[in-house]
Amino acid sequence: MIRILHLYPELLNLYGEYANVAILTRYLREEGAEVEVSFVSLGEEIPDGYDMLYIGCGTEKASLRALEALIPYCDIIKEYCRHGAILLATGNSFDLFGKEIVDETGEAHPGLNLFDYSVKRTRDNRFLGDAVLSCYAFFGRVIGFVNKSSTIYGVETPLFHAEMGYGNDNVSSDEGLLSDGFIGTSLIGPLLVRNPLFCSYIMERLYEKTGFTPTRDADMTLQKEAYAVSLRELTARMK
Amino acid sequence: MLGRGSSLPGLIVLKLFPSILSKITLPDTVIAVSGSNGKTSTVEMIAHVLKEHGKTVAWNKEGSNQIEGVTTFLLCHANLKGKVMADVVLIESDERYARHTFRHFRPTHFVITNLYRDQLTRNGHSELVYDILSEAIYDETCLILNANDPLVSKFGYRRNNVQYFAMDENRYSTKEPQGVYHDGRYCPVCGAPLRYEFFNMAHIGRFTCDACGHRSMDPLCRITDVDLENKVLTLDGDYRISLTFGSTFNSYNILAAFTLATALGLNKAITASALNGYILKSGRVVTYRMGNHNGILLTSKHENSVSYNQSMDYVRRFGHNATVMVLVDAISRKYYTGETSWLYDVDFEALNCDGVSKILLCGTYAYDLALRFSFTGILPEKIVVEPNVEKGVSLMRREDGDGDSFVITCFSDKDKFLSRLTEQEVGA
Repeated sequence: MIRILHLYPELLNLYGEYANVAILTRYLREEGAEVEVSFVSLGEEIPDGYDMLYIGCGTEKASLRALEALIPYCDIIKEYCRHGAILLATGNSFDLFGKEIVDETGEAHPGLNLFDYSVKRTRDNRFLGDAVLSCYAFFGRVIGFVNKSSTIYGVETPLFHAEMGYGNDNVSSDEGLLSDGFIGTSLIGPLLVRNPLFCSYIMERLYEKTGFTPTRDADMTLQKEAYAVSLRELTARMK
Repeated sequence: MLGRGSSLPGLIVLKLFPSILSKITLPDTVIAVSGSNGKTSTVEMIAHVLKEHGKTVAWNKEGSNQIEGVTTFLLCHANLKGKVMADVVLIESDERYARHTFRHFRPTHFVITNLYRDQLTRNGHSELVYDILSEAIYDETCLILNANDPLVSKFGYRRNNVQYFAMDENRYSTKEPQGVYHDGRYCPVCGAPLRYEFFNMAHIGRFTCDACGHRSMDPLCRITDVDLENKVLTLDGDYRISLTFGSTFNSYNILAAFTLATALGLNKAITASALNGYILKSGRVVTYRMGNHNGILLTSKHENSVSYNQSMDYVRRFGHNATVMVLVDAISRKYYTGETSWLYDVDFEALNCDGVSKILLCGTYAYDLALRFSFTGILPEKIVVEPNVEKGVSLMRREDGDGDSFVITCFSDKDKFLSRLTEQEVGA
């Protein structure tokens, strides 16, 4: 049994993030795994015993509400990561796991403090754009879109190297963060849907964690076709 | 230099005389219209209504709705003393640029239609659009707001000088939110859960926040009944309006125009008769005929799920044995993006209905569409994936029987379909 917990889908689903869980579940099932998906809404308790936590992107205000809701569960979340669970945080939910977030009004909000990075948000400058990235965890490129107001300082172990698009600090090409079970990126939307390689990587990590051996291969044909087209279109812009 | 239909002259003038907008003498009534969807249609209907009331109207019908375009059109209508020669100035204003335009002059009436997820690759998200638009709103301006949109209604929260419009609960209203996401879950004022009595589309419905009291306010004008099959709606219980395009969204635009006219003190019966059966010149429906198939192209906006959902609603309502082409080739005509997340906000599940027998997914992003459709529960044998538009059109033309034909696509892509039809097919 592979158990996935989706945090605050009613609040943090600004760019179709629900589809990340949908495609993962589909593929895991196609490969023979039993999968249970649970949802936690604002104000509900975060339970133990899951193999993967997912948290997606919301508005800036929504992400601060999520932060407030998560603070009491900080230790549980750290435990999750320590015991090999995957914690995938995408879009501005990646902001929540550092030391602090200084919001667009200048107010500082203590973060979940899993890592030492800090985040500064602005209203006047938004960082928007397509992205093509290579990954430090697997071979091949990831495509996506950045749509954030955050600048993230002090990430030591990035997940991606951005060939196109904004990195964490919007200057260098380091993007996201990879550390044990924590996988964070500012890429928004259904990035597991757009990226077969990234999706396969997460699945492998889940198999490692749970000891499950897939009995057959998921049908990723459509996804691979779509990915090839997007990668072709985007890389043509890079030349 | 002051040619029509362009923002370039305005751009040059603004560079040379940056304060020129504040020097223009405007008439007593200056109306602005903004919001995510329906601006152009609403502005066109308001202009028509005002003309039927005998007023002269200067309006930016070219759709150049950013500050340069607004400058161009005002200068076009001004005499040598800088006085705009019209009873009313009517401005379609881009929601992100309104704060620049209205720094130099203020509208007397500001209509805000709705705030939806729209072109998020440019706009970020609608809360951000709200914040930016709020910088264009001044106390002296009378706001005309959609009372069924919690975010738009927030502009009127504890404010004077506001009039609202609303649609009553009707046969199409639902108790649960419509679509694949719900942007009305939490109160935009205080963050507590919102309670809805009913939804008319997306997050548009009658809502209440029990925590802070933010709610659908009593409207100046209402749609009291609507019958989309027979294309008729009733305003304020008395005025029947026949619709040329039967959609909830279009009904709200008509209501916005009616409410604005009423707020100006104009006679309701005259307004209603102007709106009755009015055919939009900026209409986004193109009819065609291919073989034995009657076809309708429903121009929708890529990156705008509400726009797509309205088109699919139409197909669901009127389609018989229909073949539906969804064409996504260039996501925008104004800028490049390869961002396809918005496909997951569109309620393509709506095409899973008896009236639709075949779906043709076309254009560069045909496989992205196919992947999205694989989550809809629509039988795979109903779906054909054909990235090549030419081949897609041929497939449509060769379709057996006499079922309906629909194309759902954007301004950026519609000519890729229409240009491949013969003159007879389009003229039919």
